[in-house]
Amino acid sequence: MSDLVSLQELITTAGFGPDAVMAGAHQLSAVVREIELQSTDTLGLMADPADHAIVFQGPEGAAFELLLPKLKALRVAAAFVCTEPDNVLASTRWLADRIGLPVIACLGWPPLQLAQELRAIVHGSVVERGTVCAQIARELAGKTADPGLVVRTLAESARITCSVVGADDIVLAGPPLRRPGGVTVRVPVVAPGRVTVTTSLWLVSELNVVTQRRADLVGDALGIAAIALSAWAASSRLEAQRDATLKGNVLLQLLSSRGDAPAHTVEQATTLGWRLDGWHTAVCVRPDPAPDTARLETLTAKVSHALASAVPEMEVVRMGTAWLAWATQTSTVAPDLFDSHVAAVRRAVDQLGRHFVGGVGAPQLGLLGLVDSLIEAQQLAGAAGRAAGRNPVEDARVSPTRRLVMAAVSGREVVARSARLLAALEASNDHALLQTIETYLALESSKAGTAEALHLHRNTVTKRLDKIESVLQLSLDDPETRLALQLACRARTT
Amino acid sequence: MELGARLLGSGGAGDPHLMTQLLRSAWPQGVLSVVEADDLAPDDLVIAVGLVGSVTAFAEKPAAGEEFAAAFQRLRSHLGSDRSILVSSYETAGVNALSALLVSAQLHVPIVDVDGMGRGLSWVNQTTYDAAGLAICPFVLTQPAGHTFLVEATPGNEAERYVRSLTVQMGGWSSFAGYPLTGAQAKGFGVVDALARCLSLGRALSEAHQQSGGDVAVGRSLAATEPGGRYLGRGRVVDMRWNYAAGYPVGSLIVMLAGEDGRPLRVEARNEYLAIIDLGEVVAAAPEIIGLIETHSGIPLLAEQVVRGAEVDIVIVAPPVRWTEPAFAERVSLSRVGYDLEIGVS
Repeated sequence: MSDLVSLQELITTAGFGPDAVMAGAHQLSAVVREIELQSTDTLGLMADPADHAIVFQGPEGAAFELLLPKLKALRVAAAFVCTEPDNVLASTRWLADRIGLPVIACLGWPPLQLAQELRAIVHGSVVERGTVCAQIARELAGKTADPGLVVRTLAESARITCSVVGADDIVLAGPPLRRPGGVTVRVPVVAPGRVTVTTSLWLVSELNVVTQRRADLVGDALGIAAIALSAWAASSRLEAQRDATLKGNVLLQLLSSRGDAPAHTVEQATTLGWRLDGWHTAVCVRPDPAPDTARLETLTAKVSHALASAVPEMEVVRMGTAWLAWATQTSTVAPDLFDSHVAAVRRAVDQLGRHFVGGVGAPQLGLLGLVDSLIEAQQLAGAAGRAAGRNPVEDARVSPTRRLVMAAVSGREVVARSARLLAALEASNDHALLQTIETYLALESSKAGTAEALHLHRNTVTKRLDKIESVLQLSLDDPETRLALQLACRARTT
Repeated sequence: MELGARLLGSGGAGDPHLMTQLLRSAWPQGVLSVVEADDLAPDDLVIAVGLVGSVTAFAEKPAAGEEFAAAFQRLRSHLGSDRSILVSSYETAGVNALSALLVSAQLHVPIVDVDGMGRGLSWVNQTTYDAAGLAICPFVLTQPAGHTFLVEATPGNEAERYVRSLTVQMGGWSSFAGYPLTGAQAKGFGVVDALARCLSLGRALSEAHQQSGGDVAVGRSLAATEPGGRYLGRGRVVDMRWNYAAGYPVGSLIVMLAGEDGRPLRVEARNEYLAIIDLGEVVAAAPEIIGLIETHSGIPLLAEQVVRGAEVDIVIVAPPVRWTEPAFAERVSLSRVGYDLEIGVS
């Protein structure tokens, strides 16, 4: 995988024939990392000459022969001497062969010129990298380097296939990520002036078969492109923030107006491209539990992408710690279409992960209908959850009784009191006890039913219930206690 | 003596064979009296002689035989001393190991067993005398045609430069007489018993060669009998490289050791063998004396005599004790002779 130059490549590229190799011919596969020009006076100054080839401007003769074991001990790759081959006597060749140190005689080469020539060969990859990076910089200079331009420039100037990737690996430009077994070069795009390297934008190039030399070139090229892209990232970020703020403000005014929105608000909504007439089906997605504000900002793109994939032409607006979205149809939303919307939202929420829940409001007509559907979606999302008896996505088809129960268990105060009531059980770290009491209460306090549902013996259920009473210091014979515990179990968050 | 002189030359100091011939011609009896350094009177006057310049030129343009005595005589007359005068070599190695014997034989001057090097070294001021601050001057240079120069005053490190310039003009080599010392100075700062060691090493090498054969290596036998001696192994010369840009030979010889542990030893030379490198480590270095002994002849090879394919035993012989003393050691260290092999790598 390494692209370091071997000694054989070095002497072949430099134009030396096999006759120039005085000794150590079986060591020509050794890699050469650097070329050094050394004289007797400077030999002692070499810091770490391992894998270096040394061009000697003296010593010669016996002094050079005496030097060979020391060079070998320093793991020098080869010694170049600027003399005719006949001047390298048999004892020098014999010793170099014995210790495995190649000696190359270069007749007619001034040592300095030889060292420069060899160094250019050894560092050819660096020169190539510099040339490619310079060309990319030239191509992108003075332009607004958006993701599309960057991807095209890298492909045309350096034959580098890369993608511009946003938060959660959403591809903004370039081919989709394959995540193969090869090497992935990933360079962050950091906005100018930002001290930290936390970023939500990357340049990613996936390389199936790669040499170190190619990987270094791609890394450097992407680094240059990332600098050019950082200006676009900064302006896009500002634009997105301004856009999100505007949308949030307009939607908030619509929600608070309850359908009687002022003319300028309606005008702003229209300017944003929102359709206020027609039938609206609203969706609310929220993280459960809510992360910090910085994370919410980066999640917006991910949620928008997931919802837009689920329901085409859906408007998505972040509102506090949740995202509101709606789709608009010109005609009545038939039940099967609503069902398909709900199913699509369920898939989107599943795709977002287990820390997201959502609600889908009933289709409603006009501006007032939009507001009602959005409010209903918010309420349903608040009631949704991943605890037993709750669903990750609740929709408007839920029964009035379930809606009542969900409303009863989704309030902040109820959640807090429930947590306190079940604290002793939670602290016991015995998940089986929580599972048992949840099942027992859901099955109308039937020990036989609980045993069957949990695949336990009835006596085990009885013992667990006894333990639950002991831990909670409550009697399950009391109907009010059972009702309170059932509500508390529903109110548990994930 | 000749074998010992070759070994002490450590690959340099020239071939002593020609000087042996001169000595035999001048003194066919082959017997000379040698005064030990301990027997020197404090106020005795000791003059060091020898050849300076190119030993190769000496081989190509041999001496008439009188040049060393002439140089000695000229310096003695210049000094005008009424003290008893003795002669010594400034370098007991290679051609110079026998130069003082030649003067002694020709002039009937007593020879004292002390010198300023105790082995082969490249420069005329590379002596324990100079390291101790004793003056090389006045000194005399003479060549076969009789051209003679008397240098009255110059410091040791400058003397080498003048000597090199003059000897080039004098035909490549010249005879030298200098380092006039008192008996106390020669005894106190010279390498004593240098001639004795040369003779001892030659005899040991000769005996080792006679005993060698089969699995017995001449180098191993020599190292075993010589205190501080080391035998690094037997091998063939497989590679070499010489550079003459500096005006003198600088190079490397690669000896591939034989056997299961076969590996190359790298011998670094600059006129003489200066160091041996084994597996990236310096395992021998000047002032240790390095010998590459040709296995079939048992003769230590001079650096310029080594050829590819030659089979040699590599032997290390301990340096003269004087050069290991702290006050003198730095003068013959590798870094002092231009071989900076200590490279720091953390």
